[in-house]
Amino acid sequence: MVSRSSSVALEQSSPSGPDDDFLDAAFLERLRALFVQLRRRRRQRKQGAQQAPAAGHTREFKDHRHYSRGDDWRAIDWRLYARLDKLFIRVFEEIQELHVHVLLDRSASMAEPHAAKRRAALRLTVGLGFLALANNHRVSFHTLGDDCHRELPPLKGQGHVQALVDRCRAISFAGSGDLDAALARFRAGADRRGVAFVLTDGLGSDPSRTAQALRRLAAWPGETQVVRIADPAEAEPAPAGELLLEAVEGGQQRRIWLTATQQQQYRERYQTWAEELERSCAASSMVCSTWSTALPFETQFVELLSRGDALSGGR
Amino acid sequence: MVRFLDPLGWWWAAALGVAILLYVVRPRPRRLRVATLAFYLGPLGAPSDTPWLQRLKRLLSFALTAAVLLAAAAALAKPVIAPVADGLKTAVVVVDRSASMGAREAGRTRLAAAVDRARIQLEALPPGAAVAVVAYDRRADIIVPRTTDRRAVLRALQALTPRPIAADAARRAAALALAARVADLESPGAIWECTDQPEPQELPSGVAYVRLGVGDPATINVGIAACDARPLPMDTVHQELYVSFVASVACSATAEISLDGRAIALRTIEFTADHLEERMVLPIEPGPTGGLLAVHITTPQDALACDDRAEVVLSPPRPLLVALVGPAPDPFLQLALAGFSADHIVVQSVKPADWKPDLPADVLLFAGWLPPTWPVGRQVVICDPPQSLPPLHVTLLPEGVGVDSPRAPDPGHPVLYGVPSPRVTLWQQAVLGADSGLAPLWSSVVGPLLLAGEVHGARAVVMSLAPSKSERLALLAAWPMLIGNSLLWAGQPARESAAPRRCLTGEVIAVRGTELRWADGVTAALRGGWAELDRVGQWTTDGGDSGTAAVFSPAVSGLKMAAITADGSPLAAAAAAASPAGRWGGSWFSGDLIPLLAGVVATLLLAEAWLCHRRGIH
Repeated sequence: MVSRSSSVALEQSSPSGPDDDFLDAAFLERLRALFVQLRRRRRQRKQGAQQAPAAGHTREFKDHRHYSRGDDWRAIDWRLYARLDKLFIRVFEEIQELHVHVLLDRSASMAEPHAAKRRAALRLTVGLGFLALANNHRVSFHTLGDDCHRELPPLKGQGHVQALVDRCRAISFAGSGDLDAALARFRAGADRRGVAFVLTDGLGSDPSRTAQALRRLAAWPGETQVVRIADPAEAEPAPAGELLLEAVEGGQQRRIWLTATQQQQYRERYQTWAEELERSCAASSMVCSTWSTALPFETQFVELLSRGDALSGGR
Repeated sequence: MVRFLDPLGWWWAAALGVAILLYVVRPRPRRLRVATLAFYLGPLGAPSDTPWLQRLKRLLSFALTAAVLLAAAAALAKPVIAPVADGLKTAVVVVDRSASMGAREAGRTRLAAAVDRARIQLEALPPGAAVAVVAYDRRADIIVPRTTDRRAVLRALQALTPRPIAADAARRAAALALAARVADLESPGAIWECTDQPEPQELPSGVAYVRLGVGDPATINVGIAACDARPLPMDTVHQELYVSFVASVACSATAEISLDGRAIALRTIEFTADHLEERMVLPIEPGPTGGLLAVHITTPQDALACDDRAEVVLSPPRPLLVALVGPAPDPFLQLALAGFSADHIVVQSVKPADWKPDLPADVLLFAGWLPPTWPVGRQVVICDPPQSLPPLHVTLLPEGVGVDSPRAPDPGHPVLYGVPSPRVTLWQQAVLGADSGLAPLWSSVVGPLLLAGEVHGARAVVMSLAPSKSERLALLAAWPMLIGNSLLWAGQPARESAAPRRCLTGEVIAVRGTELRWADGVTAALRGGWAELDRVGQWTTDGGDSGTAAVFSPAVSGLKMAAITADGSPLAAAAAAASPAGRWGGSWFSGDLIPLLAGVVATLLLAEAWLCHRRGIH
């Protein structure tokens, strides 16, 4: 459970500027309420969602069961074998440490021209981190630009929430990111277990490569959730007329005369791209969800956690 | 040197100000920062232009637009390149004032356009150079002798008008030769010919030649290239009208034929590209006093009026008047003469004692008798000459010679029309001969027995055969046919001389009187009994002469000329380069610059569209 002292500290360090108000006191209160709500839901659900039958160093006897091929022979209860002449293994309840990886796209398109995406992404990062730290999970925070950069060493304990928040405030969204190269360099190392959250808008100089880049995470042994941060304004083209378009990533400019036909083509391309991205993730056993900046945080957060089975059932 | 025929056209360059204004105050496009361009541009619209390239393209687009406007304004100012004549001392402007130069194109005549071109040439001439003006049609005239007074030259050029007279290559060559002689008076000299004709086959030597061509090959014109009415053979009542129409391009025209103001025929004539000449033959019946036959052809947008109308004065029908002179004419001869209709041939018998050279007759028919001297200037037919009469030689055959199927060297002669020579059997009484002018039509083994030809400028037919002694001749139709043909053939010049004269415009004819009056009321004083027919239509003189004049030239009606390209043609350029006149600016390209500028405008528009707007995105 988050402490009141940390909440106060967060409140005091909340920025005054409108761009950095992604962590105000009200938001943290909502996070804490959300945490309580999720814990209550967890207690009402069946126990063991986060329990694994595998052997571990911290073990508590749970039950016996027949030995089957492939079981760890070190768990065989030889005394029971001597008494019954049958092989039984001892089943222990293991408290497994869950590792949460948050991969945040920090390309310029995440902050411009719709700053709400930046705010939503940072809020989601802090929310995931807060929830994981409160559940005593280990949290890793990476940002994806031209490369994959580890922003913080793996954190554990809710006392590190402030460090995560401070790090989020320091992140600069700029440059034309290379999602493919960044994800190729993402190495979990010893932290292989756990769930990875990829927070990205999928846009940039060539959005058609986003699906290919995300497919690199298909080899991730744990659960992978791709959260596409989307602003509703992106789905709609600009009003018809002469436009000087400037890409926020790369600064390329093109002058066009936008017609109704081209507007319709824009909508169709955007819709096709988004559907293709979800289809590609699903084909790679990844959960892809769209995070709209126009919808309430809590609703989407609960929905996001309910789509996966790792973090939502944490103890 | 570039000159502008219509400098006011440069006012259109003011549109450049509008273009600059639009460029300066052009509405800036809304600037929009987007996360990606891909959804706007599609899969193939990857951005490629950098901002500086976009600015360069905008500047290039404006520059090309300005160039288009300037080129269009220059084209509207009608620029031409006139050769620069450095060191030229004499320039002879040769102006074609023939009928085809009167064709109206774009609201003015070709002659006016040619004079404009000559004026531009004159402006490029050094001030000290002398100028002469020669105009030609059927004849060449020096309009302005060598002078340095440019105003006088320009006044003379402006005063020139096209004359309805056809000019042929020989007249043109004579005019150019005359101009060359004038140009040689002080060399180096040059000839500037204003014409709608192609370059001459032979250029004048020693002087530079420049053709200032005018004329549009697409100009529409129809005209009458020939028109005549002639009596039908053996018919003094009806006549036959022959008309030849010529068109410059394929078109449809309407021809109206009227007699004394009454329309007697209306025809629609279709000219195709392969047949630009059509002919028409029409039988007509003039009234008892003759009449005025008029042919008029019209078509929309006809460029030339002087060749659209032709008039023919028809002679009143009258019989041929024959004076039969002889002591005792052969009865078969009298029988043949009696068989002719009084409407065609009227025979008047005259005794030898009453003979006089000025007997009122169209044809003198001597039968068995000859006058002491040859009747000079009279048409004669001689039957059975008793002796020689120079240039006629007669060798009598006392017994005579029977001739079966006389040899006919020229069976198509009009005298033998309808006479079957191989079936004729006759009795030859003398062998005929002549010093000159008379050719044998029938010959036997002993010599000629039928002669025909001209003696002292008049037609003559001589025959030596006795129909009364001939076995079959008198009983056949060949005998009266032979006599009738001889009389009609011999009398034809006399009948035609009585008809009004049909002349071509430009002819100089001998007439009687002191004043020539045209049908439209224009009069001209006659000096020395000569008149130049410089108008189209019917004319009369106070001396009693009358006639008609017409252009009648297929070349004029067809507007045969070269297209406007020839100023800098290789032939002219070679002549200019070889001439001592020195350097001629723009020898590789000169003349009308409007087509070039039109091409430049089109090219610039295409280049601007391709460079700046080919994808609608820049």
